[in-house]
Amino acid sequence: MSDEYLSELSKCRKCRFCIDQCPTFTLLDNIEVRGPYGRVQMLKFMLKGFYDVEDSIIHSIYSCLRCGQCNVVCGEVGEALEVSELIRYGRNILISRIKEHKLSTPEANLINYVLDTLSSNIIKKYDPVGIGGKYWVKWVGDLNIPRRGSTVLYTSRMYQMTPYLTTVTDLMKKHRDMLMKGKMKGLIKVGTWLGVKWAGIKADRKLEDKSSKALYGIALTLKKLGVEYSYLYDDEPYCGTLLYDLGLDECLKDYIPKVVDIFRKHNVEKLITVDPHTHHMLKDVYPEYSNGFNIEVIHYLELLNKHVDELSKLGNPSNREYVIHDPCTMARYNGIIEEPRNIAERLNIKLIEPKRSKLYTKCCGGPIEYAYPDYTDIIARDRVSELSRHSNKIITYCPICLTNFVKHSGEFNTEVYDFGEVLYEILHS
Amino acid sequence: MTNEYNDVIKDLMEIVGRENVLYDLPTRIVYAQDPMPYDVEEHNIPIAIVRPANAEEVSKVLKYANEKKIPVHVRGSGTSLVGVARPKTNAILLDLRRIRDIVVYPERGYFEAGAGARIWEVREKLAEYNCMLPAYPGSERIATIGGLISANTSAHAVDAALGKPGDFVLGLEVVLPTGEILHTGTESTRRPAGVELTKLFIGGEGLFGVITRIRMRLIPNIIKRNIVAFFKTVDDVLNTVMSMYRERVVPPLFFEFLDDKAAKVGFEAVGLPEPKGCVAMITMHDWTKEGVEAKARVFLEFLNGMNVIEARIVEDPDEWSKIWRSRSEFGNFMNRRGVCAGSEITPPVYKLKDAYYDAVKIKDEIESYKNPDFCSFGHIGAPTIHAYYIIPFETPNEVRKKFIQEVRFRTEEINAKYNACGGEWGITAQRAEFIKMRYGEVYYNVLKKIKQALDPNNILNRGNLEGWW
Repeated sequence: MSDEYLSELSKCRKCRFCIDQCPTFTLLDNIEVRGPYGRVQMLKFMLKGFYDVEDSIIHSIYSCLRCGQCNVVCGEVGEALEVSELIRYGRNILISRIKEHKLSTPEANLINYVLDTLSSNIIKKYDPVGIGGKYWVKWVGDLNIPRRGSTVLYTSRMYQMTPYLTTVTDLMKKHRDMLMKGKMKGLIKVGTWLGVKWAGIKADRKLEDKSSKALYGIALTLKKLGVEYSYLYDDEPYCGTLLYDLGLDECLKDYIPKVVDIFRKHNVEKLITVDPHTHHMLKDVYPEYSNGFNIEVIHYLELLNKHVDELSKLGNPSNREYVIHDPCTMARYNGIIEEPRNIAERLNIKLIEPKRSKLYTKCCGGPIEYAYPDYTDIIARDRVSELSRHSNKIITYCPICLTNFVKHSGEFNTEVYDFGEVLYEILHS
Repeated sequence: MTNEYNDVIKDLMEIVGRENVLYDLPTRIVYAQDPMPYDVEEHNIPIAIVRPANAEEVSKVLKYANEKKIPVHVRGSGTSLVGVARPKTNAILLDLRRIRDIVVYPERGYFEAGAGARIWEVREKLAEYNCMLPAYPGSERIATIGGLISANTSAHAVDAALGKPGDFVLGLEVVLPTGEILHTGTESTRRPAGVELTKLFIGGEGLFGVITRIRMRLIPNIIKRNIVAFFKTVDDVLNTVMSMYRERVVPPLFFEFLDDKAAKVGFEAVGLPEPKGCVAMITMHDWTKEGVEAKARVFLEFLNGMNVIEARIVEDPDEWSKIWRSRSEFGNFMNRRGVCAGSEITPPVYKLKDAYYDAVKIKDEIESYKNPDFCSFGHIGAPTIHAYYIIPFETPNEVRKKFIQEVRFRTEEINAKYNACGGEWGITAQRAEFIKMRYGEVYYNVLKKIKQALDPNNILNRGNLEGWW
């Protein structure tokens, strides 16, 4: 694989057209190693033996958002490389070298710690925060979703996680320096409710309310449209997006079959996904890691789009207006772009297109908050600022975008809504 | 290498701040590279990347470099196609991208931009004032305005229509190689007549000073009309360009072409029906609707008098977008096929056809790699012949290097044969030998003397005037 991988990296003709669209290049002081071109070249020369893993490479490679804008540019005017995938794959090589060399430099300490914590939580508790317990199913409320059925609404715990992301990243910011020094390894002892409380991780109530409403809104809408589905409740596992994104492919090889086994035990034939990341994983990654994975996967927006003519059943559509933010994964990896627009039109919702939308949407910064929350803040703030010029109401359909935009919405007198939340409001109006 | 320069790095940090000196090997290698299709070598790797915030910091770095006799290499975005951006020595690499503010002064009739501002950003800022930037490099999304002015390239545009961007520069802030800060030109919208130093630095390719700030006249936005023309043969296209100049037809802003094979690939990629033969994409411009309509009409009449299969004004913006994009799609196709050695041949227009066929002949004569693929497309109306010779990706690094070198030398011979030069990529670094071939030793020595007068220690961009491979 490494010869093939190096050969792909070597195809980059160094035109650099990818860098001007990369948020970590443009918003973090135009430094070339914080853009796709620099990342690809750093990996290429490492594999050619010019140097071994070191902090500058770790920082560069792990600060990639994997937002996929570079893939679009490279497809339009470059070598049509899957740049973000080349970088993601490079993370596998880096972490194995970090461990092999027992590297104890600041960036190595940070990444090693974060990756160990996340993977351990995911494997032990089926979610990255490691909370476990009944928390995940609170949003269901009075919906009485059956436990059994071949079609399953699959949340992958993504929306439920968002209220904790803010405090986890705040904690990360606070202790980042110590983590980089390789100290305080026991500080963030997540993995149990007790550990979460001990570490001072609290739910952000506003986000808890928003994400619960979003899930409830999606579920109730499907119900009203006559879609039959079940929910796995506390048996529902996280799908492993972070393992994939962070290049923990070895963990993923073990993890995916476990998740698929859970689906099989519940006789799942079809999964209705609610967030872009899980959808991407199930559609594009699971078939690679699980032989014979044949569960049908559909995103709820795709499903609603199939029912557009029945959307009037939902209640009193009112004149609503939002600026739309396409989540990167949704637009660029899943190709779900027109569906939310069609649905909105039928619901009498006016969507304003920002300067960068659809395939050219700009990342919320969320994918790197696990280690670089300061960068996430800059990127999210920039996007909210840009969107707020079009409207003081932003609509999106990703729990990660929602979390990061909510943090900055106050500064720009803007409200951020998830599509599911808007459905909830329509259903309750 | 880092240990040897530890003290230098510390000193540079004192000047620009700790976080603005990058000195790890992976980062230095990334910054050493340019689009040349062969790897950097040890002597190309900079000592450190230094990111000054303003002319004062650039000045301090240059004074320090002179004191320590360490070369300094200035870099915009590193997109030069003739090696200007790749350091030739273990130098301090000056990355100007922290100097990138853009301020428009409508009441004064000009704008100012830091050298590190990207051309695309400048263009977008000017658009807010309904103004345009008179340069169209293919790399404009990332290329810096400092690099643009240092090369003085109008790139895709036909010079006869709009001139070079340097024609609109009113003044510059420049740091001399010895560290003094110079302000040239004027704050008036009228450029000074007579001896005026701005001209030394426009197109100076960073040999005589570091441009840190540029003042340019505001140019109201233009209105465009687009024409597509289909020709049976490349000869018909070349004859048309030659006639256009000979008959003094109003020049278009763009006159691009794709030969029949390129047009077929490009049109297919954008979903247009297979074209009839070669395609020319022509854009007329003016500042009024009536003006541009009249120009488009005149040019269409001219085309219809030539050996054209079909020529028409393209009314549908979507269709034009596809036609225009077919050119870059062919570029993608070509670049994805293998390693491309490109050249720019800019002959006197009456010799355009001769020069074109000289370029075609190179394909069969080249020795470092037998029978490379050949294609030519681009700004033929400028007139520029972009001749491309393509070899497989698998070609070893050393052969690639020889091949690029041979193509460069052979195409420069054509420029010299027709007393031409090139109008787009600059003429130092890989083209330094061409200066001697084309203009002779006296000319080259004059350049060296100017360089020596301003840069006695040969600190700045060392190797670019000496020639580099």
